[in-house]
Amino acid sequence: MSNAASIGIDIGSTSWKGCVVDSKGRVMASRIQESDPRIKEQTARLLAELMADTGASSQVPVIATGYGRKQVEATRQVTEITCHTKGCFHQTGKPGVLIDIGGQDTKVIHIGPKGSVLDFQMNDKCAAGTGRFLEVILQRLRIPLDQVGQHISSKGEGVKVSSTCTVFAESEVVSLVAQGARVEAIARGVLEALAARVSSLAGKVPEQLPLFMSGGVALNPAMVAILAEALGRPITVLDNPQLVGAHGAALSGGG
Amino acid sequence: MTRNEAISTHRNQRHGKVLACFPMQYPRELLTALNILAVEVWGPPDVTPTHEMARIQAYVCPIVRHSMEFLASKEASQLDGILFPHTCDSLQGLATVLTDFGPWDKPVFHFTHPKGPLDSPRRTFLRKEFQHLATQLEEWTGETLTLEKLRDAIALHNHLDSLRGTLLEPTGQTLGPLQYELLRRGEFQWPQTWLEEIQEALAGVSVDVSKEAKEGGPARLLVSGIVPEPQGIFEALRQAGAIPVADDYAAIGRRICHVENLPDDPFDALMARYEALPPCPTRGASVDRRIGWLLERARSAKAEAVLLHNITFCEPEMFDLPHIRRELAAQGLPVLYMETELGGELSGQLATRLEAFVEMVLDARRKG
Repeated sequence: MSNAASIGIDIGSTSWKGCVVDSKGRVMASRIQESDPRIKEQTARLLAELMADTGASSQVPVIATGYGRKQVEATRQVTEITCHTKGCFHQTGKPGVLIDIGGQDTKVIHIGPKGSVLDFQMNDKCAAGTGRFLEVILQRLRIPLDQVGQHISSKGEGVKVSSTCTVFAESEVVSLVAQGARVEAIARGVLEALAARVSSLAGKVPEQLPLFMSGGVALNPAMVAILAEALGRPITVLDNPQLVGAHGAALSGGG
Repeated sequence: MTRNEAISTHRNQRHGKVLACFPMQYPRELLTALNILAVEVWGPPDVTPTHEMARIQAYVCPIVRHSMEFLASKEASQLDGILFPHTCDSLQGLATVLTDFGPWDKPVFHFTHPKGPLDSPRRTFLRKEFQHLATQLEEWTGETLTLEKLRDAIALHNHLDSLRGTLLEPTGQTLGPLQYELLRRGEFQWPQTWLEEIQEALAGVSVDVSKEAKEGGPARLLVSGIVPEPQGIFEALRQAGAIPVADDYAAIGRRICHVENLPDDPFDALMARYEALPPCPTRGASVDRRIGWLLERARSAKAEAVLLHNITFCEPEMFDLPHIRRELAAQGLPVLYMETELGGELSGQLATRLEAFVEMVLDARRKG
């Protein structure tokens, strides 16, 4: 008899995340994989793997979140904002402000003392100031995303990158390279531009509230450090930051 | 009845002129009294962009940009003239560009309404504006405006507004796409025909008598903004588990002004109806009065949250919004602000924001 209580899947623009939880909300198995545009096929395959890993039956509820949530058959569809909040509160058990920089959008969520969403901000027009922005610009600088920490200059040495529009910023970076700016200084400038954008989205965060971070960009210590500088506060990166949304989705299975 | 059918019926059966009217405040009663069909131009949302739209900067509101395109199209040839109320700078700019450089050579009328509370000088000014427009339209149509005709038209519109108000908030009935479609039909429908359609709808409507938020029921929203476009917003709200229970859209609820006892003098009656309109930045209403109005609407409709839905670059509306958001939130009303273009679909990100907002409201209800 399996202990699987529910399954959460988070179909993001960059990666597919999924996990199975037991009745106490503990993760029994998980999968993270680059997103495939054939969403249904990828979901069916990875769900089958998760079910095989945990012995979960087809009766176990599946809660879908992420931009692809409506493309798959699921017991319920819940937005990323609610799921990230649930996942975060399950880990921390306290109110705070959660920053999730996803592939396509960035969210800043105020979490209340009961684990509810009190308010949220989200960019809704384009990929400016998102993970995709970072990916495209760093690719242009030939810096692997997971090694950016080793390729940025020190604080105060970054060049100013004014745009967080992915297209404009890419042109700006090309022009900075042409002017002979150091790649490391440009990389810091890019991270600082993204941090400024997120910081403006976050607005004035009450001092007593801790800051948390989830999403794939939270795996990048350089980005977290620069964002903390911009916000003037330390940021706690949640465990398995990429999985927080899927975990929250699974936790939503209980109603 | 479509807009084209309404125009054709007016020409063939009532033999009257057709006047394109820009948003949003103009004395429609005068037009009705002079047998002029008002066809309002809120865009329209579904124009095909050509070079005409490029005459206006991309950061100007889409109602203006789309209108430029529409007025240059073949479809606009059905219109006999245009009326520009003094709503905002962008529309005033359009009036200039259109006639000085653009593709419009038919009559253009202007109606300048005062901004701010109707004190004595503003009353005098407004009365003169009503009379000036009436004279111009009389000359244009060749019709004579008798006081009796004007009184009848005012009574008709006053009655219409009373029914529109009922359609917006009868005994707990909530707004859905059908009601909105009917409410917006008045943008081109002859008033008497529209009135009959609303009466018919009210007679046949099935009413949800619940006036309270209830467990398992949809989230109750006060919706405010300029014009409910794209119309997919209502379906997105329904799918997300929310319904509008009170309306302050400039194109809908913000134009309803039923006056119980109309003054006998028709120009005084026009002024009384103008004064009874809900507060709107396009008429220079103070933001505090507007906040008070929104709070009162939210409370009386038992709304749990507010959706402020602006169209991009609408300056009069944008100017007040930060203050409105802050004050409503301080009064414990969750507020979602979103901006859309006129046409097309609701983007996935906007739909997600709407859904997340509704989830937040319903979660707050569950947790008390």
